[in-house]
Amino acid sequence: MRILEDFAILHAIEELIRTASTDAGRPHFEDPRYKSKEFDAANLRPVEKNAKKICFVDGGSAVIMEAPNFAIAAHRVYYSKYNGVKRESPKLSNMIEFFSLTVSKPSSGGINYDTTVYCEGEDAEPVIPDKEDVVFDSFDKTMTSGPVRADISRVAMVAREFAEWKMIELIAQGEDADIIVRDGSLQTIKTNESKYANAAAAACAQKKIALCGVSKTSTLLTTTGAALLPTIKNIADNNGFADKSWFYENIVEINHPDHDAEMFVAKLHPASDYVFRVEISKKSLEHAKAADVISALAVNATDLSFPGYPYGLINSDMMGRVPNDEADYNRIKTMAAASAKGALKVLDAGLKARSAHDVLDSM
Amino acid sequence: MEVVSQIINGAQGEIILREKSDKPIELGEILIAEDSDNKILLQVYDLQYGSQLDPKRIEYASGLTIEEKWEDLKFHDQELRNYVLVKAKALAQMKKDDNTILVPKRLPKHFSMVRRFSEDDKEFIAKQENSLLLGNLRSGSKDLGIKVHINGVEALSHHVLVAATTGRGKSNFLKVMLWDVLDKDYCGILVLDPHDEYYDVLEKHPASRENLFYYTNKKGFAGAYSLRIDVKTIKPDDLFGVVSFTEPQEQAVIKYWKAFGENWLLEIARDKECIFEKEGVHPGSLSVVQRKIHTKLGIQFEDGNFACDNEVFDISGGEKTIDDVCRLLSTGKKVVMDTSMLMDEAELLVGSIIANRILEVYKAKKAENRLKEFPVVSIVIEEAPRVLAENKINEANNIYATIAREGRKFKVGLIAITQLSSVIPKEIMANMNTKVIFGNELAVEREAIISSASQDLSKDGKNIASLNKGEAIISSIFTNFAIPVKVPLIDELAKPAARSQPVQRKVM
Repeated sequence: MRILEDFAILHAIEELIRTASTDAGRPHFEDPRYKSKEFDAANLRPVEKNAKKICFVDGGSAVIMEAPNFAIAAHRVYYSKYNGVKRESPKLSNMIEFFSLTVSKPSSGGINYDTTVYCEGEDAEPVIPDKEDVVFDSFDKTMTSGPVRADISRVAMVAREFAEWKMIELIAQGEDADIIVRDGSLQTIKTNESKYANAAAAACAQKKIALCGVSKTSTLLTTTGAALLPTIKNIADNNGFADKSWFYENIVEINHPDHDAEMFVAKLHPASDYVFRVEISKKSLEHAKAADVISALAVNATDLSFPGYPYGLINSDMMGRVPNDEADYNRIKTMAAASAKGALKVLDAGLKARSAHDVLDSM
Repeated sequence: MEVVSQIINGAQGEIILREKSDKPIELGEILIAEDSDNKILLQVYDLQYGSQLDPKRIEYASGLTIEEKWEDLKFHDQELRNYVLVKAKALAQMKKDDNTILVPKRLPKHFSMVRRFSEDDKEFIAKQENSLLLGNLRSGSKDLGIKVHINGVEALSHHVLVAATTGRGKSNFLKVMLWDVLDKDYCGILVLDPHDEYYDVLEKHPASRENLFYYTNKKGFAGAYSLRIDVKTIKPDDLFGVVSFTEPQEQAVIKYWKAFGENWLLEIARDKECIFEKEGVHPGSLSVVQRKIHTKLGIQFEDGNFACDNEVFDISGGEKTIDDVCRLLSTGKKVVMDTSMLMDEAELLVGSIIANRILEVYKAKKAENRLKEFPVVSIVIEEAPRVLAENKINEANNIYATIAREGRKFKVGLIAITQLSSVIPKEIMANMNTKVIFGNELAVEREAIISSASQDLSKDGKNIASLNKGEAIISSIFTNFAIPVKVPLIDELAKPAARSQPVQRKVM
């Protein structure tokens, strides 16, 4: 491959990085409801360590069966609780599991995706989203990529995403916590999601609990096309913060109704190679200081396996995941049940309509 | 129930448990998994680290700690994410309703909680008839104080192998075993004691006066029999088993035996003319036989007079020694012979003479259908490969090999002590039906023992290598499973006895 031998790609990337480092521009947001601020080293703040009680929320889903017109998925929502670095026993049921069936249904000349949630026991019920909130147009723009019908399995995940917000609301109401952290942004994207996010934020505000989001990945850019987070890290490194923990504020003024948050970039441990986008609900900042919230995250971000990333999120990610082998087990169980009821042929015909690449993968 | 681990994975013979972080488990430890009907006895044979983290991530984390010295960084939830995995095998299964002990044919329930062995589980160690103490039940390095016995008649007649390297406690084991049986009449035991180390301790036993007999030539030692054997009681077969002769040399010996009967050995030693030269005995062969008899047994003629370097072999005494010893053994007494002044071969010859005689006696008793009236007789041989090594067992009339092969039919057995099990042929090892296995660092030695053990010890290599002094594994066809033991110190057993009864030595 001449292209790789000549390092042509690497040269192009090198050029991109050089341009970005000489002229970072300013944070770039396409949406006019985001007003970006000029970069300024004065926005850097040192992070002190200040332990608080934090609940970390995450969840995961796995599709058990998928056809063009239906998807069965398994979902898990989990939270862990820490006081600084010390794990505490949660007061509530901290692992909720449920299943969902999403089917296509005709509606007003179009097709809707209609999700029904199935759960066992009373623990899951409080986090289950309302039935009418998980019925979507199959061309819902918040779930499609381009002018094609949304992927039904992607729609099936929405029930769990809403359940995560409901879990935050429950924690705020029933837990003894100072901060609740969710994996990802506080911005809501999906149709009906803001209803759940707003309820969660309101419950947190009522109990004076800071609601916070930490994103592992960020696609944010600067006006010169540079990646936003590395650009801010460069500023910190060049202004005496290279060997310190810090956070950077005044990135953007957000006036979006579905994104009621202040955005920060933080390096939570001096040994970390990573910086993260941290968001704090604006309602929370009426009673809490960003520096205190980020300091509490830094106390928890001292795990040797990933310094600088809150350990509670590592734990919740692991526990909230639905592993592939578990999905496989559930798939077999469903097939067996279908077989026992004489419905396997019907099910199988639907699955074959979609899964020809499984055949190719096995070759 | 104090949980120390939980079964999380594995297969038959390789059950994997997760150790509870504050309940460390040792290699060799015995544990109990139980359900409503059964208790399953598990033994740990391997330990390893387990982690939820990728090894590379852990290596990197170590760098952060030791290279960059970040003191605030540590593994959160350390006890949940990093742990010890324990590999165990099921040794035995006990039915709770009637305490029947079975070979485990099923796995304990998945996710079973596992606890340490306790006093409540001692039924796993069944009481035995004609008990022979082998030590205290051991869990890892902990002495559980539960005595482990085996059926002594069965075990001794089917031979006992004590495999140990120097300093691992084999002498102490033997002393403890002898101490235990000293007041029991189901066995007679002959100890050929090249280091003269047994009598001093055993005489402290309350029953030593009646049951312990000590033969020595030490001067001024009251309370002992003189170890003197009339050379006329030695037969060519006794000699052939312990001294190597070529065929012409063997023919020469037989010639003298036929011609002079019980005086054959004296005549050989005395003959300067080679009186049977015309009948085919080569003077050179006779000369070599004479030299071997001198160098190995210390017997020669000087200026026409009998002389013996070691005072054991004599022409004017000791004519009843062999008969006396055989009588003592066949009445369940314990005989210790101080052979410290003898060369190797002379010591073996003494044992060989007695072994031959006792086997003859017991064969006769069996023919008379009276063998069951007599106790089992066992002969202790130190450095057993001297007579049981590959190149020794097929030598003509090696009585030790004969006993190893067929002694059990006549209630005559060996207690063979060795540092080198690997040089003893498999056929003999297989006949040693009780093995007392002490620690051994040499893989080849461990392999020899493991491959001939009565139970599957294929996973116990590390376990055997890690045994401390006095710790052993008993593998026997007469036990339900290979039993880990800690042998108590003989001084601890002998102390109370010594206090309770002053020593009263026998005086000749």
